[in-house]
Amino acid sequence: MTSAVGFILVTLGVLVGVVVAAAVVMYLIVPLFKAIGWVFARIFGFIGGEIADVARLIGSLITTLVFVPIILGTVVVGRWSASAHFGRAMQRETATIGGCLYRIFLGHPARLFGLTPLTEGIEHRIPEVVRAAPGADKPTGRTAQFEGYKILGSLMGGGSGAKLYIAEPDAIKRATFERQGFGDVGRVVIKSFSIRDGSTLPQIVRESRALDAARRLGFVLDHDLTAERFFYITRYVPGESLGLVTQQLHASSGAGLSGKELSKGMKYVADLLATLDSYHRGGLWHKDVKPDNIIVHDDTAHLVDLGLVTPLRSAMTLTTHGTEYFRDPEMVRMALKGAKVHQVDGARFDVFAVGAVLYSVIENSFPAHGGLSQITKRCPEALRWIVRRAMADYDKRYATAADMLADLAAVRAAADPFSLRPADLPSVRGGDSHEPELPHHDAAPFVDAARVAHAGATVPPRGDAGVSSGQDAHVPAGERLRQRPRLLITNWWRGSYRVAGEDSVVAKASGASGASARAAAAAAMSNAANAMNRAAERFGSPRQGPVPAGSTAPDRGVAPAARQAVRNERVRAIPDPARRSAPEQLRAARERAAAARERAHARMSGRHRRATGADGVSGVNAGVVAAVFGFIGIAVLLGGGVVGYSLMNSRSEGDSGPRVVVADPQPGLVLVPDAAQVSGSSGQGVSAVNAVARPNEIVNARIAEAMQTASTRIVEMQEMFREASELASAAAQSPGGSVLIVTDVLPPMSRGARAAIEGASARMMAFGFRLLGNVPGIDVEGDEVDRQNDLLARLRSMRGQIPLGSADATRTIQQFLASNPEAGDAVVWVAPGDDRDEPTFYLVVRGDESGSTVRAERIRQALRTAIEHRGTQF
Amino acid sequence: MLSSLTTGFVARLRANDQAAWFELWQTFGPVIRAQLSKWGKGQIGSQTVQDLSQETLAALSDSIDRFDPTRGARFSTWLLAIAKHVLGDEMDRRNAQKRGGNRRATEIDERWMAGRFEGVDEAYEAAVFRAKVEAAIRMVEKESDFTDFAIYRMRVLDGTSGKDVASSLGLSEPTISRRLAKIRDMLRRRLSQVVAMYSFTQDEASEAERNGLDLNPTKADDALFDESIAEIYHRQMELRRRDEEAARLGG
Repeated sequence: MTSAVGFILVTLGVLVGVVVAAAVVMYLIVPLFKAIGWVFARIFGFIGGEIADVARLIGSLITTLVFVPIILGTVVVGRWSASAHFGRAMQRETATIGGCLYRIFLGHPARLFGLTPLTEGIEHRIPEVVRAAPGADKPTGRTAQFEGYKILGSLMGGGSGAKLYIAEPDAIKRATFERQGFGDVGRVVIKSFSIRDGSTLPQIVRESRALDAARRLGFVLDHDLTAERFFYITRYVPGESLGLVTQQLHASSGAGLSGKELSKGMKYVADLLATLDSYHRGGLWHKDVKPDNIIVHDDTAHLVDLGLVTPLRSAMTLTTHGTEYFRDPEMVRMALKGAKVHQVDGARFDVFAVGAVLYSVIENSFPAHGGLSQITKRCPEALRWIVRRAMADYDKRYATAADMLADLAAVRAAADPFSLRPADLPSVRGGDSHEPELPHHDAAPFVDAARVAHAGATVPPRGDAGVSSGQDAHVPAGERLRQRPRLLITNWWRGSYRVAGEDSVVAKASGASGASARAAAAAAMSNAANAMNRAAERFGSPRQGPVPAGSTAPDRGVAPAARQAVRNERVRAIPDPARRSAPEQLRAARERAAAARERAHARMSGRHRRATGADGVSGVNAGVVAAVFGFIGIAVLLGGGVVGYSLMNSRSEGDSGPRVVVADPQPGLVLVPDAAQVSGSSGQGVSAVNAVARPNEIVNARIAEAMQTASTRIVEMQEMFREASELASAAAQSPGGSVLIVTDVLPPMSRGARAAIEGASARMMAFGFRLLGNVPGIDVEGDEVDRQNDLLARLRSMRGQIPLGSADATRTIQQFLASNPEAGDAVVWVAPGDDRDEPTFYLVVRGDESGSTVRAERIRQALRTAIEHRGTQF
Repeated sequence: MLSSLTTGFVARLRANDQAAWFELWQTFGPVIRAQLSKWGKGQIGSQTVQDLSQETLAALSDSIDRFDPTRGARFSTWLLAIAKHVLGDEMDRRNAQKRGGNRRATEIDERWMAGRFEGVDEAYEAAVFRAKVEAAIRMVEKESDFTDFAIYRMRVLDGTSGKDVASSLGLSEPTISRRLAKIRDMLRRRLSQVVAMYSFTQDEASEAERNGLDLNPTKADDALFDESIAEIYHRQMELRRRDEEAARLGG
């Protein structure tokens, strides 16, 4: 029995042990090994990356060195195109070198230590900003000349192959815009497609297709199509793209948007929706909504780039153009099936894109997974719902931008967006969707423009240009536009009719129906009204503004007072340039002709530059300049080095005379007769000084013969710099202290001797030494004079007649220093030299005799340096 | 033996049905790109990978007529063989091999048809299966009611509790459960279809069951099914995120 129980217990124990062991393996060892593996992966990744980048760096350096002579060769033989080609290649190699250096010294080490966030800004944000930087500010060439516009700069082009310029319209263009009802136009953006610049005909045709409609809506100010190029002009909106702004919002917000940043992000998307609503109501579909095409200026988002704008009722075949991640895959499917534009609801594709934009604002990333993309950052559930709804399947997403705007407005209006449930959104709650605000400050002009456009378009105008509400809001834009307007004839005889549901009465224009006829009639009315205004002004009547082309002709049945009210509403001041007198206009015309001649001249010179290869494509670029200057720099350095070396050789070979040999047999006693050059030792004897200064005539003669004055100066400068740096180093290392100066050079001193002594004294003071004794040029007052004179007297007495420089003299001075602590840390005895101008300095440092201490050695070095560097003045 | 769905799909490809090609591209493009990047080992940039993955599909359209379903090759192997051929061709181009000289032009290695193709690994097979699951989820998203799918997404893919989902949408918990079940059933049906469409062998067809996605389940299997779907979905999303990030930075 007992054994059975024991057996069971043992079995249970074994089982428990196995389970525990398994648990240990599962929860401890496996993670441990994973961690070790992770660490090793990092280390090997680091090593591998470093090796690869070093190899790449070396390879790039070699390649760059190969390119330099090639570039120089092509420049010399005048092959500009080839030189530009090689220059660009060298630029790329230089960029590779920079990248390698960055990764070797920062990128890989940062990754090794898990500091990837540190490099995010350098690796992601900076390249994006640099990529988005504008191009050349002053484009040249015929394709960059636009009549009536002065080019101020350029912007980065997109994927359509167009060039983008910032320009300023001249006075006449401004007046034209005023007359066309575009209001105050400041700077503009010119998007130009030129076959010469690489644009293709399909691109040009595609971009030009929707411009008439966009112009009616006021989004495009002007456009022109010639045999060579096509361009259109829109208002310039300065600012940063939403992509960059989103990055900044996330950088300041941390993990996910909240508070002020979230509010800003939602406002930008609301602005976008309001603008898109204007587009859709005007019968257009933007088709390329993405963060790069949204410019944030003054905390307001503006939608730009009309490259793909398409009329919603176009009979063209649907294309797959657009930007990945922000383009609905359903659109691609429909396009591949050959659907026509008017058979689909383009507004829904724009809504999908806005959903993707909202996703990118929340996530600071792009929706790689389309509608299934997961939102991982902190975000209100209601906002998450809006993104999903906008990116849902074609039939299930918001029918209009206004619907989405209503939901977004509800989130924005909530006191705490995070507490708002999806169930509280108007689209989910149903029925009582309130009319959302139009936050975009540009929305009003867009809406006005839309109203103007409706008058001349085949699309029946809606009663109010604001956001739709009620039942009609749920009708898809495409369907709304496909619905035929119901016309109610109000006067058979006069041909006037009314659109069902609209209040305004429209006059039938000369029996013709359709947009073109009405537009023509409206333009005619506009011209007539302008003419009337001018006539009225001439005859002294009150001045009235022009009627915008394309606006609805006022009905004859409307009361004159109402017509006057409408006209007064449209009064705009015409700028003076448009109303100048005949002589003024003539003068202006001559000026324009002169300007045209100048432009033609500029064009011709531009052609000449191109012909000679001086333009950007085939001319000099940064790589070529770097190669040429690099070569010149290397040549100058090598030449200077060769000349300097030969000069130094010639000096050392021929100048055995002026060299000074210093004997320093005794520690602590240094003999420094001349600071010209110090080398070696003479071995025997004490203080054997040979300081025969040899005239410089020979050297000068050689210099004059070699015609190397410039190189000599460089060498001298280098020598000076070297000495200065040595002095600075010595000064930094000097321990300071007191030095007793004893001068045996009696007045009147020669100029040279005085300069030598004063210079050495000044340098010693600069090294932090306090000077005692009789120092020329330094006056000591009061009791200090007596004390120092006493010290000098005692020292002289102790030394007696012992020759300076001898071992006895050194010993005697050491004894003096030992018995007189107030005498300082060292004694510098200045004796007359063989030459009157060259005194001899004897240096004895306290404590040297008994074995040099660290401090004594440092003092000795500092004083020796101060005395030797006679060429340096303080 | 191929299912009628598979033969139908292959027939659509043979008929140059653009929508079928787009479907194939959208479903398996990321997997092919990942595999090409792996094989390229840093020798080819992300842009080249994009181009090669498109060339793979173009080569597919050429080779589809030679496809022999009776030799027992898997669908994934088929794709991989073509991708490898395209990559090899690119490498030859780079190495400037003379065509018509001593060496024959690269020809597609048709050993894959006999199921003896080198280079197929477990990771690749798993990626192909995940792509199939993702395609099924997309189909369900497309055909289901928006709110129903949103409930499934919140509950299963985002991992929100049933109570929170109910509170968020202003619905009762039983309603949430009922709608969840509806989507789950739809997903099972769609998954069977997708697996059948993109599977050439019995082994491939039974892959779903091996991955915890029993297509003929009992009630108790629902939790496991949801869990497997969520895991596959998250893995696939991570793969796509990496793939698209590389494509974006490279482009």
